[in-house]
Amino acid sequence: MSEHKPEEFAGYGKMCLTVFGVVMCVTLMMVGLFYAHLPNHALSIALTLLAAVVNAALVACYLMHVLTEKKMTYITFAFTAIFFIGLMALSLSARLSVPHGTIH
Amino acid sequence: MQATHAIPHEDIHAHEAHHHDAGFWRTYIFSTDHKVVGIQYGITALIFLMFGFGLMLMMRWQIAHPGVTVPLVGPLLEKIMGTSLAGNGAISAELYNCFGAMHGTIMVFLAIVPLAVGAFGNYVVPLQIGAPDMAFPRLNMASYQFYFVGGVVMFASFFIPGGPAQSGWTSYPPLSEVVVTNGQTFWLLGMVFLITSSLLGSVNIIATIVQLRAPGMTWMRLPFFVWAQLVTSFLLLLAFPPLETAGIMQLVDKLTGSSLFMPTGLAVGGKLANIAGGGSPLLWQHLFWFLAHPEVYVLILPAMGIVAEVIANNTRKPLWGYKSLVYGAMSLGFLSFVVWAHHMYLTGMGTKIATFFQTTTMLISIPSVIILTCLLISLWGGSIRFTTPMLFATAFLPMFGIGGLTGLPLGFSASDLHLHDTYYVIAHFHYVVAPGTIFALFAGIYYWYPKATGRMMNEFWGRVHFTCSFICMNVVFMPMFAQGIAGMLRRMSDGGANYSAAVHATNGFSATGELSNTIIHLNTVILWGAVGLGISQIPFIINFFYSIKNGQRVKSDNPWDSTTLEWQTPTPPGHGNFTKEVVVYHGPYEYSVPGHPTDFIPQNEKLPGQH
Amino acid sequence: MEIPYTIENRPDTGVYNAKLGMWLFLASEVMLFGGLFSSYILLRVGAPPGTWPHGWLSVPLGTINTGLLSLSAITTLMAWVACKTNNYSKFKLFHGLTILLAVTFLCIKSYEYNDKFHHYEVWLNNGKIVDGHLVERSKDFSIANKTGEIEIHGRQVDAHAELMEPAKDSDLTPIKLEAGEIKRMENYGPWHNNFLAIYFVLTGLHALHIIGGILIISFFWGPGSKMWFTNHAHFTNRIEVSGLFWHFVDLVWIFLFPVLYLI
Repeated sequence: MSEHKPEEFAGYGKMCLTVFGVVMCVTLMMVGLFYAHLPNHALSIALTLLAAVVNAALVACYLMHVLTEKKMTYITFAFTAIFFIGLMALSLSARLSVPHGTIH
Repeated sequence: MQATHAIPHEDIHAHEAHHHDAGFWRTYIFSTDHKVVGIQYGITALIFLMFGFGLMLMMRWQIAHPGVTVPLVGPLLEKIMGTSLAGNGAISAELYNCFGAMHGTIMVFLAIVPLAVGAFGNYVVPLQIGAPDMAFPRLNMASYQFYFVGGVVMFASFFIPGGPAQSGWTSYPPLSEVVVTNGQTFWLLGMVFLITSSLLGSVNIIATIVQLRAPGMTWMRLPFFVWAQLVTSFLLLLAFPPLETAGIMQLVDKLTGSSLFMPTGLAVGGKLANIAGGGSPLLWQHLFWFLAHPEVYVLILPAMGIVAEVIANNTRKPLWGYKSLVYGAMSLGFLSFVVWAHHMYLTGMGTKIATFFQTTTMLISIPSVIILTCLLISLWGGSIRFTTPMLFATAFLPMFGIGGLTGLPLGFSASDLHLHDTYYVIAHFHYVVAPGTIFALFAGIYYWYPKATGRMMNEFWGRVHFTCSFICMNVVFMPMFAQGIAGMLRRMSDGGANYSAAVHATNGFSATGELSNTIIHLNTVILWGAVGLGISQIPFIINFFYSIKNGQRVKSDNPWDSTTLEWQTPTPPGHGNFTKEVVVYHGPYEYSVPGHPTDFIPQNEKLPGQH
Repeated sequence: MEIPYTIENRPDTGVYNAKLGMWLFLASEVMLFGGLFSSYILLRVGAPPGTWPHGWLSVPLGTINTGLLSLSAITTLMAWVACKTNNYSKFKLFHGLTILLAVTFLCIKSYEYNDKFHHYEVWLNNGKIVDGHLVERSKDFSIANKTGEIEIHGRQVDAHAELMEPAKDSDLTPIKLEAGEIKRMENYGPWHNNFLAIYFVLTGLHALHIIGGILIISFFWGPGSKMWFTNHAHFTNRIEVSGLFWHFVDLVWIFLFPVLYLI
């Protein structure tokens, strides 16, 4: 059983609705960005992904209790993030580093 | 207080039966007890080990005598596999490829890992940390069942028309997708089951080690075997999913005709393939090797763990450099994730990225050497008992040394240009896994057999098993280094005849780099070695089964006078393992403590002067 | 001996067994979807210019799905809160809502899949391409026999590369075609194009996770809810742990939606 006591849950309903509201706002901003069809494609992608990360962080922190949990989840989380980024970065780097004068 | 007297096997059962009245199925087949699951894993894995060995024997026959009917099993082969694959009882090129692909798959995924992690991990880890069972017993049972189903699917693929997968255990597309038979689909399905089993098992082991350590069992008091299993499980947990991804993608390619791995402009049989194109065969390679490299550390780490336990016990002194061993294992695990493309040096990667992987590959040899050195120095000044487990454990050291050192020319991208895909590679990795890991697993079987059964395996036949296996392993694999350096390529179903000086001479030409008669003759030597290796296992198999009922009974629960917790249980351990509360007072290798009446102090016994 | 820490937290780690187990499992799931996302990136970066489509997926439907799943994440959490505050009827309400939202999500997803399987690219004998929805097909339609006709609601283009950008609604008209004019036609399944292939794999795997989640949540809503009364603390932990899984499934969609639909 976690350390929570019944009284602590009074604010949960409000917190949930707030998080949901913010997530939907960010989502609608992303959709708006799509319809805006910015000329700078790379910027558009970067902003969209940034918005996605914000949404993900909100869900993880508030809904998955990452903010309130102990060391163990932080460590597991951090390890995974490192591996995940490493996998992406290295594969992409390998894919993009093509010897001069050859095609892939 | 010393170890208690062994409680006879029958009494434990009566006790259990009185408690549970569970019946045969619940006790032996659908059990959630980690010891039963461990033994299930062990027996299944050993059967697959034997099967994979049989495949290899047939392959080595074909290599030494291309096109000749296989003795003993030739007619049977023709009956099962059909005339096109095994006409005249001889192994066709396609069948050779089938055997090659399945030998690798079976040995790695169905034999070694289930034995090292599923059997030894499940059986020993809860005992060594002082826990009553694994953290999730039902999940444990489920993980064995997934493994079993995966094994059945893989085995069944031999009997479908066209035979099993035949594109190497590495299943590189487009070849693996272009072969029209369904063997590859079975392989992919089987892999999905096996990967699921692995994932569930690794979650279980990590949660168990983190959460269920007995009071007083701090991290740095864990036996090195437990550390090795912890790192191994992290590797399995994080490295397998990308292969599951890749497997699903290849399955979708095969079943729906998509082109995730099929490039534009692919021609099959001289005609343009009817595919959308745009896929990347390299993508498969990256995803596959992202798992398959950590996988090899999964193969070796539990073995190092077993060797550490056996050496400490049979030298009657603490392991040298416990902290180095632990940090070495952790850095080995971490580094193993960033070396994978050293299997892909010949794919046309740019020099920058090739250098990156070469550097990390060189770096990873450091913790490997540290671990091996610690184990070697642990022998120094020890009071060594050459019991059968100790024979296998000490032999592991030079064998793994050879295997590891011969990996270095492969890790350098320049020398790998010559050695990639040659027999040198085969020799290298077999040295680490065969006289390496398998010897360690044998050591583990002989070592923990008395705890699981209450009887010792026969010592004389154990020595025969060891001596013959040791000699034959080297006869089989040492010549392969020479063959590889001479340029003999892997996966050649005719044993290199196409490139041999003899065949060229009969056709009236010669070529540079052709394989000399000596090199080709080594194929025959290797065949004798392989047959000898097979025969050497017979005393082991007989010993294993015979000693269950007729072996020498142990005189105590702790026949090896060991310090670790698994020997503080009844023999064999009952449900819940420990009959009284376990508290740990010190590290795992308190042997030969000065002034103490006995030369070992179990972990749940206080040190002299401890409060 | 009982297995410790199934209900109470282990003091030095701060978690009970199932929670650690679920976080470890989620770590492996991150690697699973990570592998797929990195495959998406590699395939897209490696695609020659003019071969990777944009705007083939319905953004309004995707946005609705995002809303549904985010809401279901909230209701899952509220169900756990109801367990903690010992309110059985609220638990049933919120858990039931979660299932409903998830099922609706799947319905919309199946509609989208179905839509793709009815979208055809038709190569004509005169070299042009007609692309759109198959509205009608005569019973005797057969390209090989050159019999029958079909009606496509879509557009006609001169080159395959033009199809990579979405059609404006004003461009879409009904087009009738005789079988004799058609060289071949192919619908928008995974075999058609790598974007579709990776789309189906990604969303398909995600949908399998949603189905798994629905099964688990339904079990705890239905027959499994008995444990509320026999072992409330253990039950609450199970709701928390299954809720964690559900939030992860939502997290994956939070990345899937922009990556597949928007960029």
